[in-house]
Amino acid sequence: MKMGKIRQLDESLANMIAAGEVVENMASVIKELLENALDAGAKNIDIHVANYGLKEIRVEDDGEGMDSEDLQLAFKRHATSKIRAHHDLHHIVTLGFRGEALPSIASVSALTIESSTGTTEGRRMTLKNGKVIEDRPAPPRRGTTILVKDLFYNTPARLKHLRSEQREFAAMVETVQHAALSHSAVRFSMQHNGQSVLNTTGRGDVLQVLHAIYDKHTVQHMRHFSGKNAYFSIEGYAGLPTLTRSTRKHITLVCNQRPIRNVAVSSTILDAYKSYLPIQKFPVVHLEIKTDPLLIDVNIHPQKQEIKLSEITSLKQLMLETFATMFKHEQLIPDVRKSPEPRFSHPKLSYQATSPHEAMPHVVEENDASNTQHDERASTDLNVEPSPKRRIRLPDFEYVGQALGTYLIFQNDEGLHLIDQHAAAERIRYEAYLQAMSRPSPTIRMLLLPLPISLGADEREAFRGQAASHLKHFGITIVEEDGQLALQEVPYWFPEGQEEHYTDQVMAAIQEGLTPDKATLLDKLAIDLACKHSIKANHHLTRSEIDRLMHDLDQTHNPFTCPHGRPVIIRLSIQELERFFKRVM
Amino acid sequence: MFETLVMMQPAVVKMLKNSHLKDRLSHAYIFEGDSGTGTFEAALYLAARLLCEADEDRPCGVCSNCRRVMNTTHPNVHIIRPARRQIVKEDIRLLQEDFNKTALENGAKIYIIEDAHTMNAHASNALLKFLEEPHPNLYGVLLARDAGALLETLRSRSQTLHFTSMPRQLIEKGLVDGGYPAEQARLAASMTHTLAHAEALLNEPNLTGLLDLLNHLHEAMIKGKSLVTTFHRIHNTAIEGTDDYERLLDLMIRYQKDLIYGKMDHYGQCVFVEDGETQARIVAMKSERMLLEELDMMLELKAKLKHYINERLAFDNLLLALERRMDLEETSGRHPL
Amino acid sequence: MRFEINKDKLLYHLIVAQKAMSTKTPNPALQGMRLDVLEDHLVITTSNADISIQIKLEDQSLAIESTGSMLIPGKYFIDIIRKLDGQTVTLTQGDDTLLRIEADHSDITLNLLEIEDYPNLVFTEKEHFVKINVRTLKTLIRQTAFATSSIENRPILTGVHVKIDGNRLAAVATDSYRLSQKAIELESDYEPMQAIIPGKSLEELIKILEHNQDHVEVHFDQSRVLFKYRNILFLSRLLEGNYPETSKLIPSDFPVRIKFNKESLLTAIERASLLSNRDSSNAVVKLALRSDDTVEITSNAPEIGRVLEEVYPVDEVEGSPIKIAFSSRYFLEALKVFASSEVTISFTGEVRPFIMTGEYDEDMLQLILPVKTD
Repeated sequence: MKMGKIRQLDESLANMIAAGEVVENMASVIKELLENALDAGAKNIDIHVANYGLKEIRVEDDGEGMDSEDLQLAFKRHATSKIRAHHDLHHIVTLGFRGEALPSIASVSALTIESSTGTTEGRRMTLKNGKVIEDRPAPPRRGTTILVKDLFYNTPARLKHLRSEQREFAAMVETVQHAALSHSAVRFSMQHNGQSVLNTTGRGDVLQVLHAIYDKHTVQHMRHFSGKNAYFSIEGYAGLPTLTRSTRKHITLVCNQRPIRNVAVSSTILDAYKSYLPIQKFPVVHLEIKTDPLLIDVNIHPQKQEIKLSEITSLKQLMLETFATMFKHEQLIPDVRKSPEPRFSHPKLSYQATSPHEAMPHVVEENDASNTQHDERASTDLNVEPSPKRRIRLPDFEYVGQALGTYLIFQNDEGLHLIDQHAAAERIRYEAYLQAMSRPSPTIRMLLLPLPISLGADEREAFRGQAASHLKHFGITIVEEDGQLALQEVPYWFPEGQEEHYTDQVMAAIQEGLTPDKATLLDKLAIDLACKHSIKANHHLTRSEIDRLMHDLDQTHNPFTCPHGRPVIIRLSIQELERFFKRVM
Repeated sequence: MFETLVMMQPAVVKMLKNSHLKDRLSHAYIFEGDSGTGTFEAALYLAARLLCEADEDRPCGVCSNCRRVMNTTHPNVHIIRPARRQIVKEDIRLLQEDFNKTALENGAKIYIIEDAHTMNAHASNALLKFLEEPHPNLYGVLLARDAGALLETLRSRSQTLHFTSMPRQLIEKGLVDGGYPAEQARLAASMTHTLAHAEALLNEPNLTGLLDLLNHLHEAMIKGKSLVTTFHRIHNTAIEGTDDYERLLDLMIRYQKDLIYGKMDHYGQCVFVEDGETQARIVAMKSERMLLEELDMMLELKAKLKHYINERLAFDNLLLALERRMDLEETSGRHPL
Repeated sequence: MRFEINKDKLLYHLIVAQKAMSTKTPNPALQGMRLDVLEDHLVITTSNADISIQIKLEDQSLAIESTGSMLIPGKYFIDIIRKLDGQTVTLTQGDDTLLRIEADHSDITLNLLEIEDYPNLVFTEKEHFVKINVRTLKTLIRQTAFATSSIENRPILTGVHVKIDGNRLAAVATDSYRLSQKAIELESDYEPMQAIIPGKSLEELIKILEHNQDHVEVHFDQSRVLFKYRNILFLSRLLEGNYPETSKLIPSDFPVRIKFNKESLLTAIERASLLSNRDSSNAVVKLALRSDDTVEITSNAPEIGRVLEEVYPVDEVEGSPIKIAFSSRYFLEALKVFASSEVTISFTGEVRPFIMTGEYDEDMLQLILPVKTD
């Protein structure tokens, strides 16, 4: 006799799995049901929800279904069709593995399940309060339909704990969206009170799913990317930096076809975007990771979404490289509309505390998306200096003190503001350097005694060739005496003592020949130099140095991010402080 | 003074002594050796040799210069060590600033760079530049575990002296003299390079627990039980932190070597001498090729542990692999029992 | 070891010695103050490796019972002596490791540092030394040391090059953006010799020299220079290497010469440098000689504003109109060291170094490199 597909986990194994309630909220119910359906190999999944799911959730699939024996077993705790032996804990290729789903859901609702393998007669069972109240044959239609009614009717406490109906429902929709994104080859349809919420074609086209979830405009601003290394292969769609959202919810991660959450991965995406996005703005990204299941440990949270990845550094690197390549490619397209350089779109600071969750000042782009095509930075015009009236100012605040030799603390009626002194100095220098470098003819400092510099053989060669004239353009003149190269003239803005080092940097930038575009070269150079020469962390500043720093910062065009896109200033609102101290709940 | 050094590194001491006598000292040395092999002491030896006021063929150890070198307070001896895991350009700049001036006291000037492999690129280049300028009566000693980790250009401008690790027998003897049981001494000596490290290993509070765990695994292996299950049943007793995984793996590797020696009838090389019976049974179960392959798997994991990986998962994976190989052996009918 | 001494006498000398004491050296021995008690006098020694000071203290209030040597934690020692009441203080070395300080109603013990670790400093006086008037030496240092480089990328330029030939001593300093040169006449002839003395050492030296007509003895050595002033020995390390030949770099032919009143030029440049974007000490200021022989000082900071100052030369101007730009900082620093009330600026060309001289500043010149602007 063929063994049923569902086996009961032996007790030791069941105990090895961290126990935990699976059914926390509406979204977790739908998630379990979807995973069951996907695991059964469904090609079509239809979801019907009534009254935000509180009344009814119905999931219908055309997967392989269960025979009578399996169906019965399915209602025992820790039954699962997925784990054969505990070795397989390490090979969680299938989605779920706890087998806790059905009995758990059945224990808090009235659950009807109808299933057939398609070849034999099906079976229909209804459970309430964990007891079978209906058990009869069903037509041999291949697939499974599960109907969950009156969820949490017997656990009023749990019901009370649920967030508002709308938010519960939004979370459910998000769960379905994630499932659809991670299984583009499965057709999903979802209806709420008879109205269509989501429809995908199941043709394996992620872009189509994105289109179904977002809109045409969004999809038009997304680009495909892919990359691969020894451990991982990644693929997906990333929104251009002009496509921003104010929460990070629109970053979806899928690992081996399973929607996941992973802080390291999502923050790497933000890193990849960092110099392109205004602060508190997040990109739209869909990322699929494929890897050896051995590198994943999903057994750390019953929700199974939070996963741990080994070799995460290798993944990070792959992601950064892949995104960098994509952005570079994008920059070459001379369509101003797609210019990924909103660094110079001048955001306006607004302090409306719309959501107490957001710790930073909200920077709202002055121009909305339709206006970004006028971004003046996109042209090769070197005059990056905007008119003074567009400058954004720091809020008024009062100095409190310096912490850890690194952060300056200020206060006003909005709360506490922390300024990273290094990032602030970097921003100031960056703008000053960029401005100095961008002048058509630089102010030049001459040296009475040429400063000997050491150059590698290739740099010497380059110096004799094209590079000399490039250097001259920057205001650098190198002379050769008895085979020794020496600096004779340097730009006035080179700090004393850094002449050789800065020349090195300029030389390196020219040699890399990154781009024939002088604006990009200058920008990169300004970033590098600003970083190298700014006040380091762990340096105590005097009051007058702080005043000077704040004055200069206020003069910059964007005092809120350093040239690398990291924040210069963050805010801890009064509301948040009060919550920390449990003064309000 | 320097007696231990002379005993541990007679060749290096002789070499430095002769070069000094013949006035053929190099202006830059790389002392390559594991920690505990006496590289720092040798650098002080060289400094004392150069500054000692007595006219002897070794540092007298009593003159003011010798004493201050030993106390690392001599103004002509500049010592650099990584402050925050790295030696940065500023450290080299301070060195340069000091040596661009005439010496505070008469005699040679010596700089010693500890953990020279932690110099970042800027520091290395600055040092290189400094080495290229002529500085009469200035000597540099770079200490590194592996000279290969230093810039090629630094190596080519320096003379490298290799410091051998302490012979195992000496460590073992030192441990036994120090009152440790012979078996433990033998084990620790086989797994470390220096007496100090061996003692540290033996003083590890977890060592007994780990050895117990290892025993249980071997018993499970002989009885054909699942290694993974056994491990999960009892690992909590010995495995507390992630470091413990690495220690256990070290022990497993050492044991595996024993098994291989056993297979080749080189019982004299074995370390886990008490465990002869268990070893004999495992040896009888597995072919030489198998044992070697298993060792490979362990060494591979050891290399991986240096990276950020999920130790527990990786370890389970190793045990699983070992276990599956046993199954394989069984079904292919080569099981001798 | 035990002696007693007038407290203020002791404190006065400790404060002088403190100038060479180190506070942040890796060598803890250098945070100490070495005290040697001899038959009839005390010797106080401090060092921060770069400079060292040794003071011979003889005083009628000094009563020595027994001799000895010790290394005292300098900062604590000075703070304690400073706060003591009473006229007399008695110091006793308890055993090798303790110093007992008694005065009035106070009885304090201080843990000593390991004297064995103290550097072996060589304050040897030479048979032949150079004698210089204190005031002359101070002026020489003040007029040159400021032009040394404070950046270590060319260590040799952090020093003042001192050269003696016959009865002439010449000092030169440059950071390669400006140069300062001053020569003095000595009272007798000396063998030719030269040394590069760190600018920082000289700046410390002038702090202990008083403004009087005494003499300073300068004892040169291969690797050190020792200044002897009254009962103070001041020892400095030297910079190793060859100082660049600077005499050829100074132009000798000046088609344009303008003489200014020093004060009015100074204030005009100071006002012009106020409007600088970020760093007012480093503003670019332009000087233009108009055809009507008036001099225009201008500066322009696009986002802030513009300054124009008119300055009238004190004598007839030599040469034709010229326009030159420079860093206000170097210009002001040079101008300020002049003793003369009228200063002549001589120009060779718009992108050539220019020099400043003054009638009452004999054998002194200040050279500044201009800045190229569009």
